[in-house]
Amino acid sequence: MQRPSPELIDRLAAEYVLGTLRGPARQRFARWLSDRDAASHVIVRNAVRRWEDRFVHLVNGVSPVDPAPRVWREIARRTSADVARRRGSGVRNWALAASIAMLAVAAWWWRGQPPEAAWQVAAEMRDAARAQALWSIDVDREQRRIRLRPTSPYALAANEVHELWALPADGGAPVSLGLLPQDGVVERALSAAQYAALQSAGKLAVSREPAGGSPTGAPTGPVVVVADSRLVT
Amino acid sequence: MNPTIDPQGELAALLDACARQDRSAFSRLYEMTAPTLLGCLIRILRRRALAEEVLQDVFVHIWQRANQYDVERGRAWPWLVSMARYRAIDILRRERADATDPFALAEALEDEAGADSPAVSTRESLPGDAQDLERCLDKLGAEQRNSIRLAFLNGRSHPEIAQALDRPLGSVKSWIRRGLVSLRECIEACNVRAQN
Repeated sequence: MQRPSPELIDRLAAEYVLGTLRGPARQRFARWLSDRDAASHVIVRNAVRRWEDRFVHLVNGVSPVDPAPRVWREIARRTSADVARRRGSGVRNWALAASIAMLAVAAWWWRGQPPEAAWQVAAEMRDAARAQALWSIDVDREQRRIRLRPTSPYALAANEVHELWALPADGGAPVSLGLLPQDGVVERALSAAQYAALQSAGKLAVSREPAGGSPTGAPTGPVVVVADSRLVT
Repeated sequence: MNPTIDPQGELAALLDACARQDRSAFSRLYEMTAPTLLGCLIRILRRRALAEEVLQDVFVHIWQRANQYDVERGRAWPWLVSMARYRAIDILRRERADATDPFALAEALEDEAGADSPAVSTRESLPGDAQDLERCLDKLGAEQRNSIRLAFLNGRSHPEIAQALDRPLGSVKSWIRRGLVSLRECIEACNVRAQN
């Protein structure tokens, strides 16, 4: 591809920030902007930042509107569930996080390769009807950690969540692997029971549950998607 | 407090604290910025309930990605505003099919036609950059200025602006294109003067 001129980049950046760059052109530009390896990435990023900085003052003329109290309650709920699972509470967990980090560094040092290499795909949660990947589930068998990444998850009502389950190959009761993020990547440690269930699971499933996850410890809502585990060899 | 003026870098400090999972900083950040962000989102999305949903997503995203703000150091407010606006624009694109109530749209456009620049009396209290932007917008033709405001503040596309101003699409596109070039030149000239 011919390298675009700085003038063209600046024009596209201006219309991207202004919002008049629309449709596939907007998506292409957004991809270019987020691709650090793309040609001219720094020029594109700086052009966008300059226009954002110039135009942000227009917001001074916008009248503020106080959000309804439930907006914050919902944000607090969605983010605290995340914290509880990712970190537990307080100092003890900082210590835990620090030791995990040290272990990871030690593992890296020992193996002579980055810890990232340990991740392997546990399952691609694909919707048969839409033939689209909804979540990708990776597992780090050495660290016994799971990484959950939404690729294009279903929309949810405000009081619902998606929960991930390991379905044992022998037909035993499903074991919860935790709630799936609606947005952003979540990585967390697996308990021994969860890890064992994941290792031996024939399939993984996602169900829709009330806020906070299944109240009973077994799936209660409709199953949204089932996928084969790729860990079983 | 007006979050657009962040002289002590309070927003930046709050975002740093959010990256360390500090809940009280997160709640303070919300108090400071959510009303203005919601005002922006309502203007773009035209529906309060939808705007509040997007506001939720924006703050969940901030909590999860506050560490990425690191690379945008010093640009806390533009970072937040841009994140909210781009999400709203993406949603507009997806929701295009379920066209908004035409009467509501007509009303909204009437409100917008006067487009809201800050009253001249309050301009003196704005930071220098904001005054530069206002001065440079004033130098544009009224049609260029209104088109740019409708696009940025109300998330209007070229065809919607053409409809709102009752002018041909081609003219709107070229007003905006040339308006942006003039704005950039004018603001850069202000910056050069400020440095000398």
